[in-house]
Amino acid sequence: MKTNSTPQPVEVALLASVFVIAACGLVYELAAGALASYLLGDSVLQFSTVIGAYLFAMGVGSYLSRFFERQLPAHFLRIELLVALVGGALPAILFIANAYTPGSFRFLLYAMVFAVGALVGLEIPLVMRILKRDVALKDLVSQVLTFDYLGALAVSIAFPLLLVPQLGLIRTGLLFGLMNAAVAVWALWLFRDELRQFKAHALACALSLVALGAAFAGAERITTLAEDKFYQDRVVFTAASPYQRIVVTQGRGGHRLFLNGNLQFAQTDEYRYHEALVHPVMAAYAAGIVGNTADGGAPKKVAVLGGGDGMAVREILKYPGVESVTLVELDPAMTRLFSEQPTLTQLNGESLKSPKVKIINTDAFQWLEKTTDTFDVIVVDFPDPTNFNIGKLYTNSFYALLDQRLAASGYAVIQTTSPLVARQSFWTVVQTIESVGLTATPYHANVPSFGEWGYIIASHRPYRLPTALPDGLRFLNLQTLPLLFDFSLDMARVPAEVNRLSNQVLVTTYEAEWGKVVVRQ
Amino acid sequence: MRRRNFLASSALPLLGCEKTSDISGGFTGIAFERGHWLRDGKAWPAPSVVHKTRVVIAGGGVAGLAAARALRLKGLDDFALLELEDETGGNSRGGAVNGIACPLGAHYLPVPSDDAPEVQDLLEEFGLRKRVAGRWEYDERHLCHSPQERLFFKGAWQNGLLPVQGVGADTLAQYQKFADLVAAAQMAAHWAIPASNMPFAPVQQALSATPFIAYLDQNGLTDPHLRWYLDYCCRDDYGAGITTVSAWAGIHYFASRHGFHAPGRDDNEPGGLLTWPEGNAWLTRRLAAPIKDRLFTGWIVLRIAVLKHGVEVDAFNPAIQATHRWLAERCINALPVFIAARVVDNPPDFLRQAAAATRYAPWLVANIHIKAPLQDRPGPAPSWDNLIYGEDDGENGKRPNGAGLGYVDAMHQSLLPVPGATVLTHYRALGDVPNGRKLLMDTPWAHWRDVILADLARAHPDIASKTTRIDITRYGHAMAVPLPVLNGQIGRLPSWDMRSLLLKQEQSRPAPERQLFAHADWAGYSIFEEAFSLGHAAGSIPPV
Repeated sequence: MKTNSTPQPVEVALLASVFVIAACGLVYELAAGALASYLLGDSVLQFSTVIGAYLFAMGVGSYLSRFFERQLPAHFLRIELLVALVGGALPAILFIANAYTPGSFRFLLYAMVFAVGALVGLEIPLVMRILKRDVALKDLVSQVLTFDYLGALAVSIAFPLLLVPQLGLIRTGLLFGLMNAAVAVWALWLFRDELRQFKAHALACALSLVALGAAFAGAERITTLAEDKFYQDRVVFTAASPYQRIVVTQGRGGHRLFLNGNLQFAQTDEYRYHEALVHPVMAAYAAGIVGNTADGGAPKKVAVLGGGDGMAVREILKYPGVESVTLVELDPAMTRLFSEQPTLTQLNGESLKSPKVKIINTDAFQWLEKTTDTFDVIVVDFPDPTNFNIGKLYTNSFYALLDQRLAASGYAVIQTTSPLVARQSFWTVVQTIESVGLTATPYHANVPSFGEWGYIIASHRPYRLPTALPDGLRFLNLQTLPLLFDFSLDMARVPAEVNRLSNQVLVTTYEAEWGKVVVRQ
Repeated sequence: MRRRNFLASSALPLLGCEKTSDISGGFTGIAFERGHWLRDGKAWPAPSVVHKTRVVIAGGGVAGLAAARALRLKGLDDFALLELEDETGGNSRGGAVNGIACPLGAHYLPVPSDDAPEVQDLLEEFGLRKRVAGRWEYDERHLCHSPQERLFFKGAWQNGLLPVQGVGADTLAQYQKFADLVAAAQMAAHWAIPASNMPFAPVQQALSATPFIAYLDQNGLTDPHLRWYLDYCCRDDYGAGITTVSAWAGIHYFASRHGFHAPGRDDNEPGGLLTWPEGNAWLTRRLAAPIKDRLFTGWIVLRIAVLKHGVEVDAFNPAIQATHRWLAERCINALPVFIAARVVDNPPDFLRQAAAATRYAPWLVANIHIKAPLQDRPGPAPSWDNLIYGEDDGENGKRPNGAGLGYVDAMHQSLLPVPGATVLTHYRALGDVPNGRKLLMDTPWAHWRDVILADLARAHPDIASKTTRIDITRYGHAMAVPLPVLNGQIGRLPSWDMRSLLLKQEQSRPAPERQLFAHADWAGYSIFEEAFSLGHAAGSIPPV
């Protein structure tokens, strides 16, 4: 036995590998913790249980190391490759698993954490035993543990500051998997004289490197794969604007649009939603005006707030009497997409390219404050009040502005969540519209993708049903239209508070009501 | 936010130390050199120009502006208002950081009760208060939007500012006990804002002579959560905590508003409060707008002499290096009392006593521009007022930098549907800090930057990485602290009977006084309603 002489190459290599192994082990642990917190929430719980499971598994691994007797370098090599594969692919596999089999996510998470932990726990004792052949125990323990902890420190700093921001979780995992595999290759070369089946080992190393390398190169595809599954169909278009993430998918049911993961329309039944949104007000405007001829009394000036997909505009343009449509949509990416992308302009009948349509990309609240125009029909197609910012668009302050911009004979219509699922929310909006002195006329329609959906007409004069509808509709006819204005017992009016900027009761109510039904969309 | 970006950012706080040297900013707002001109006894040139006017208002804070408005309402348009700073408004001035409006000082006004008819009238004039179907309503746009308040406590946000979630039964019992004491005080006396409108009842006299901490001890209110909360309230309103202010002040905070609500309460303050992106500058700018031609900003009032047939006011303008003299029938002295005592020739006894008895709390206001919404912790959504519970700042003397008072979001009242860049206004009251004023003046900006970011990082680990600029406004003498004093309220009333004047008993009769005093200091504590009502009263009295 030698002590304190010049370090041998084997010794240096093994200590370096201890450094890398410790670093890799911690990366897998942190990645699992971060993923679990992101996907399951409650970061304290997730980090704590992941780290606990990992450390316990290391203990198990250490215990198991006593059963490895001979051929230590070969075992070391095999374990190293296993760590590289299981650990390196851990974030990618968990990410995909969450998309495809969310039920088994937890099981898989802890199984993989345990596996990686046990393997890393095996490694260190094996390295020590290999080194023991050359180094005194006190130096050995000191050196191995020093490098072990140094590796942990390096990674704990690099992981949040450098690795995840630059590479993302999936690539970080794969990169460290590659580093583990590189250690294995090094070991292969170092122990080339000791290994019995050198070629088999070399092949395993090569295969592992290729697999991890390929995965690293295709990390983008893995993310897409996971997202495709989340959206159930193939993602054909995505755009990230400062306001939202726009995703269009295509599947058996045609195209679907998602904003921030929430379904906005499905091609199969969007006609139901948009016909029900537009025609009750557009067609009735003409009917209500005394002495009006066929379309002489049709609305001339129409405004659409929200609805950048151009579907509502498509329905509005079915009235030849319409002279102008002002579309106020916050996100220019939405209107650009639905004016230019051929598959999408096919869906909205190129409505946004019509010379009658004027697109204004601004916030509807501010636009209403500034504009001096009045409109015969205003279609309000905002997202549901899922947060306090959007909730402001459902307050009495907003409807007071709407009231000012609506012609004396005009009708406004407001899409208003589901009166069945979110009954209290729906009637809160009715109450709020009435509080500013407008007449509220609620109705509803069945849109299979959404369920039973609600709308509210706001006007200065009482609402009267239309006497004619445009040709070519697929959902509405004059016989069934009045039925939409009947509310069954489970959707009937409930007492509600006025939604104000200073109380925002709607957001809390909405959250509570939908929270009961949908855990995660 | 894209998922992968989210993953990236979610891991950051694990270690989260960021480079802060990229953050720009500095000290803004207050012109100390001008303020210290008087203190340092510099020589000034002899008056080169003499102006004649009917009334001179010295000081353009809320009281001075209110006096000017009252004069206009009386049809007296021949007056001049002298202000040291470049903009009027005093503690209610506003600014902007990277184009986003933000307060430099006071940032909200509770909806005034019927005890403050002058303030109600003002709000009506500005269109904020309207009679709708026989009831008074406030403009929803300017009432503080929901969600209003939240507290970061034990690793999560909770609604309201009182620590509730995860406290023990003992704490809840103490909350209830304090709530009962406040309710009893409300039964025993009328607690009005402005306090200077009402004579003190004996129970209020007694409380104003007692330190708040002694009152809490006497009543066995020792719970640290309750004390932390009360201390926060006192620092927030009075610039100093429970060990410094009187029991009157500690009770007045609650009794004059809506009482103290033990848990289970509605988290919206009944009646609500008005707030604006630029804070109360929204009000003071509207007060100043119609009198632009009579505002003299950048003028240091050097001397006010009451003569037999009028007053003589000398003021120096460092920009043109000239002294001017104003001759007037009356001066409305709307300066803080410590300045007033310096500039008034032969100051009357009550002024000297008031100046000697008034202790000022220094304040720091930091406007932090952040380029994107901050990463949040579990609990309620970002609110207007966001407070962070501090375990270690409950005891006196342990606040080397003046414990922070959380932050308000300047974009909270915005109607934009998507959150983006904003300015967070962070307050620090240094009324309890030993040598607070010296600390405030001597501490370099970079140190404040680090202290403030570290404080807020307790709730927002990524704040340093999202901050682009921090502008800090320092107030050496921000507000009078309501100390325990033997003879209670305004034991230092000016010679004229302000109370009866305020009760409008003698308004129509010309008062002989050449000099009237109007400043929140005379109320013993500093809030908009006190300053405004005193200024309004002074401006409403017809000159000789």
